[in-house]
Amino acid sequence: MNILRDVLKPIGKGLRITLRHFLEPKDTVFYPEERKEQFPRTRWRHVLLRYENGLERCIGCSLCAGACPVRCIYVEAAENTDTERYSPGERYAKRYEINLLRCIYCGYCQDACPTGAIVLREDYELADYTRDAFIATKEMLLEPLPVRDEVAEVAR
Amino acid sequence: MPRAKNAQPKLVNIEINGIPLQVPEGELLVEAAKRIGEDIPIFCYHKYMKPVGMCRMCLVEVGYKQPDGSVRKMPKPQASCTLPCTEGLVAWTQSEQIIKDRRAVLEFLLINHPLDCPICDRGGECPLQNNTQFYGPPISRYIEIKRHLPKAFPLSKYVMLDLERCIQCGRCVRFTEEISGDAQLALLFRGAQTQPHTFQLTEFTSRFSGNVIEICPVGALTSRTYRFRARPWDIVTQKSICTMCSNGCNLYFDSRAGKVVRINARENPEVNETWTCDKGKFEQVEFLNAPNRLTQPMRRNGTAWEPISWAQAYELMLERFARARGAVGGLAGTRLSNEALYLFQKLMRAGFQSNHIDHRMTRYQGDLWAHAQSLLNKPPVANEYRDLEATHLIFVFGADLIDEQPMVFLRARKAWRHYGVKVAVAYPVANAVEEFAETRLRYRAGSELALVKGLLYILLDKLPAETVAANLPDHEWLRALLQDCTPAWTQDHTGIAAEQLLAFADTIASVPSMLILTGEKVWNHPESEELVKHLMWLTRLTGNCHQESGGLNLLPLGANEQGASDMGVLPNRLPGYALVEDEAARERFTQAWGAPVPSTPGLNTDGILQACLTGEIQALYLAGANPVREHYDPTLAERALRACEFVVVQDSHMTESAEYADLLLPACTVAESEGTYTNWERRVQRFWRALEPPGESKPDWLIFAELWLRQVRQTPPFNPREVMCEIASLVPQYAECTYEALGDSGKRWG
Amino acid sequence: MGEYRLLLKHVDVPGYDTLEVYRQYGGYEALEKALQMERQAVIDEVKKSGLRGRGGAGFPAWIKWNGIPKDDDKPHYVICNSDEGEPGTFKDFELMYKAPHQLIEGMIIAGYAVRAKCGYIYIRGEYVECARKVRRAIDEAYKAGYLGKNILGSGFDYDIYIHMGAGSYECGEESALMSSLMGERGMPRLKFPHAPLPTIAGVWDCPTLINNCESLSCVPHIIRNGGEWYAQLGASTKNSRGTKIFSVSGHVNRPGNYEVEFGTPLMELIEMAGGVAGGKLKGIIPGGSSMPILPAEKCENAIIGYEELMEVGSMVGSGGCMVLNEHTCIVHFAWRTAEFYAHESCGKCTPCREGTRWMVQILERILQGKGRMEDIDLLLEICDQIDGRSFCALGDAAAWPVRAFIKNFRHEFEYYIQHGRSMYADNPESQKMFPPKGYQRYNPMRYEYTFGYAPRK
Repeated sequence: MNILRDVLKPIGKGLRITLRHFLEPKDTVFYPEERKEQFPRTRWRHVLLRYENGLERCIGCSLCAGACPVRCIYVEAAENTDTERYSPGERYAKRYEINLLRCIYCGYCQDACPTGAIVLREDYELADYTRDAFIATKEMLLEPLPVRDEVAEVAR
Repeated sequence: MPRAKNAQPKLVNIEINGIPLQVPEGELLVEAAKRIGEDIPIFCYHKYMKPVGMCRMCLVEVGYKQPDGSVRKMPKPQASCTLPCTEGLVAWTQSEQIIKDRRAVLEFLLINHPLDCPICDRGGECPLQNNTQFYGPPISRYIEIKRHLPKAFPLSKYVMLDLERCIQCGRCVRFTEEISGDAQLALLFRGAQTQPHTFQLTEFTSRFSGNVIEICPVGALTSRTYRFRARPWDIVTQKSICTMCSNGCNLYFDSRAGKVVRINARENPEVNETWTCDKGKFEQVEFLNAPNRLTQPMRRNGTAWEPISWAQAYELMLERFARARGAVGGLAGTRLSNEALYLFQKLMRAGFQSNHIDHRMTRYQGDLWAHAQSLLNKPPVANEYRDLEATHLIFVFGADLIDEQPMVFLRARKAWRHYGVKVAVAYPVANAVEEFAETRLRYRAGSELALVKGLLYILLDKLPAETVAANLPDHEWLRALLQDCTPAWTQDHTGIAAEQLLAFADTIASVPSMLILTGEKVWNHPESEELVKHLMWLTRLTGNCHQESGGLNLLPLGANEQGASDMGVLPNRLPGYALVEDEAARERFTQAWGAPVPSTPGLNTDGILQACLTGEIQALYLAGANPVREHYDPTLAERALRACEFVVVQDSHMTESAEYADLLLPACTVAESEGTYTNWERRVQRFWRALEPPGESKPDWLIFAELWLRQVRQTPPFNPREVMCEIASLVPQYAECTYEALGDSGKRWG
Repeated sequence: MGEYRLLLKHVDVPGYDTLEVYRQYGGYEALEKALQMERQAVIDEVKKSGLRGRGGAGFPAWIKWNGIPKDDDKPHYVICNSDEGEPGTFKDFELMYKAPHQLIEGMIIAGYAVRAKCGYIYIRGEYVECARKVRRAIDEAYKAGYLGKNILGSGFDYDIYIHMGAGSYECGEESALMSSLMGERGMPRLKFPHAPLPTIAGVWDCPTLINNCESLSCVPHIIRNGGEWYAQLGASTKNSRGTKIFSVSGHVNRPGNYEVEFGTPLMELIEMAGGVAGGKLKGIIPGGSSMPILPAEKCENAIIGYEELMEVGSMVGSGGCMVLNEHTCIVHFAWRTAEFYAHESCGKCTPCREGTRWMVQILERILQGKGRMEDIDLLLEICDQIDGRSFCALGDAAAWPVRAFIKNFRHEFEYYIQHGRSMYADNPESQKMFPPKGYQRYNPMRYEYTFGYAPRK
């Protein structure tokens, strides 16, 4: 047995690989301080979109609930009034809930939506401590109101 | 001509798509095609309304076989909904031309129909949507501007009109003209502007307005109470029976998330065809979802209610009932199922050894069955829905038919309209039957008995002597009894002109059969026993007790009042109308129940309430009954409940009577339990459980069964099906009424 | 052959609308004669005459007369259809206005022949003056004993009532007319393919004889002179007998009613009316606006007669002969025609209700210069989708003219679409025909939808 050939050389070979990777740029990110960019078609948590004027796109039609293969969406609709208007037409979603534990992120709801209101976006941080926390309500799902660009408005 | 009962229609040979078949002559082609599974698309056609051929969706190519065997094809396609089948008819429903024509009609309909299906309540169950999916063009060539009209116009409390969606099929207008008869809807304007509306945009106040929602083939007429509540794929549908009156309409309960959101009619050609009244369709939903539901057994603690467990409740109740030692009474509600009513009387009789049970809240509390059997040899309700069309004269007596018996009203109207049946009505005030009645007798309120006496007096003279002798062999005493009741006397007492009465008597004498429908005014007449007897004599005198399509119908008012009588919730009758004095019958029930049955007849409702006042009854069991509201004398009921030592109220809602209770047992509504109801024509019909019972409430039959177990220490029945088997084995009338035999559409006994 | 005046023979005699003058010219002789005859003999006389319906369909009149049940106890009715709504037709106006007694005599004879209880004259709502004349004539007839109980001692009782329409073209269709007469909405009623005539179940479900005003006006002449004599008129044609009144209008020098024998060449009728005005002939619509147009080259050989006109591609219809000269813009004309039918559609059946409006919308768009080439074929296809699929003939009547305009003058439509303006936009002759700018010819409400009842201003 040759110590040099059988022991030290492989060790050196192995250390060389280690050294090479040591010098390469790192793949690991320092989550949660750092986050990786998601692919554009990533399908994670749902978002309910709004129109540019701030009205909700969702009309509470329940087609997403009908299309859902695991029946994890519950929609309760109500009627818009002139004083209380949420969406453009007659109808809006009063309650919109998704059970994220049941959801399989298939995206059928996105396909079924006639107004393009529900989309699956890149928010993947879904962990929580209680089961109840996984019922995503309308307030959680809804896109925040667009910030009014007052400078642009004045310019217009 | 009244419809001949059980007539055999003539069959003709026709051919559809090359398939030869035999159909009754005059059957419409669209119906005939269903026999070979060929579903011709339709919009304006409705099975229970006259065809009009407006929508042109059902076009088919038609030819007629010539004697030489060749087929002469009609040059134009024909609307199959208006085409009666005749010998040698040949139709093609799938030809290339027809496929093109259907596409054309759908393209025309869709040029002005907004595509707001996602927010339309009809979306998902819409005939226009379905037909477009199956037969429509993939795209529209219409690029012009669609019509725009107000979107949601409230026509009434219940109905919403969306004119943009209307396809002008005219079904709703025809319904109000043909079926309900109030003609409140009409087509306004013409051409492309045609729109259905009420005249002058007034409120749509029909009693049957809910039906137009169901028959609308698009979402133009929608329900305001169901508006945006659910989509068709959200709801669970269950078959049920209406509990608002004794008509026994077949319904569907549509529920979502534990609540009934909508009620639709279930087709039963023998009962309600496909109609419902607004009471059953809308008010029932309100009733089922009322906020004052009871969900927890409670006992009175001073002025407050103290929630207790079921075990405690049973213990308390049995202890107090045992203390009363037979001085107990029970009143059952008419919304209980047959099974529950049967178990109730079994518990009261064999468990608590008391015959003081009843269900009647009207003034009439006599032995109706005995009278009907002895005088007419028929049950108190002689006929069924179909007989209304087969008889010659319908005499509505003391009933506001549209309010008390809406389906009977619709059938009577149909009989008048389609079969030329004469209608006569006697009622103190104006009512809907008068609109098509030939004879309208507006007597002075409370003078019902005088009117019948007057009629009997005239008829005794008017009818041929041999008829009188044959129908009423011992008529001399009746003549003696009525000797003062001359037309002039009747005029004095009832306010009806003598000539009018004579003319009506002429009509009665001239028709081969007469069908009498009575209502609330008879039940609540001060001398109701006399009145009922006189009505029976009238039926007998005119020979209608032997007629198949005529006779006396003392219509019950409550949903299962008929069933309560059948099940023996009567002080003197066991299930199946066996007398409690009857030794053999008692023996039979004692053997079956494993406990003795008391042999003395009990007190009726009035007697029970009076006995509560005097202290003869110390414990009272109100099972679904609400005497404070339903009894003809609410003060008596109120005083009795207050005086009674221990009142148990078992009900689904917090009722007026429940305010006086010492113990509250939460029960279930029709939507949360299972069982059978018997409607006025003695049709036993099943209903199914649509919802889970809310809170700790239990179905009525289960409460009785659990009390039975605790009181008698015997195995209680396991489910309503088992109870029905027990009923079938003990009650001869219900011998064939097992759940399997009843099926979806029920079965009529007797 | 020239004009042959039979019905219009004495209309220009002053006072011919009074009973006195009418009797001087042989009035009510036919009635007296008919009342001496057997009822069946009267029907046979009509059969011999070969009289065909003058309202448009050309249905043999005697079949209707003979179809009335002869031994039932239901009341029978006779209806005179004077709801002359067809654009271009105004013959009934003259017949009722100038010779009301002729019509009444014909109705009494018809009533006698079919054992009728009473007769109704359904007059177009706009013909108020006619209704007054007929009213006066009926009153005179009652006084003279031609109406009422026991007419002329024959034991025949008969009354005539006038019913005014309310301005619906659709009510000229016989079943819609009967609905209107019964007080219902003027919508056509159901006919069964094996019993298309109202002879068994017409108005109030009783046997009903319904004929056009002109057909009934022919009856006195047939009875007076005999069926054979009447059948000699127009003997040169295949199956058309007697005379026909044509209301010639449009680009002719002397528009008016002209009565001609069947078999007269169409061009001769135009000559009678003074020839084409303002240029060469472009086309003729011989039977009212619902009939297909005949282009000039086909008019040359056209002969007036039910079958004869059908052979060249049009129909006699109700005789509203419209003449167009070479400066007429067919696209405008097609739009105006389509617009009329869209307005008059009763709204009962889908193809007519939606299809007619769609056609108007497309034609309007073409007129605004926003047409597309595929619109022409689309229009043809809509015509096919309406034709024969609608509930009554109004759908057909809306589809036929548009189809004929496109088939015969397709190049004009193509020009309009390509250039966004009419072929005749620069033609000074045509300018005369266009309405002046700013003139609003039609109620704009027609195109918009009204909700409920529009508030009165």
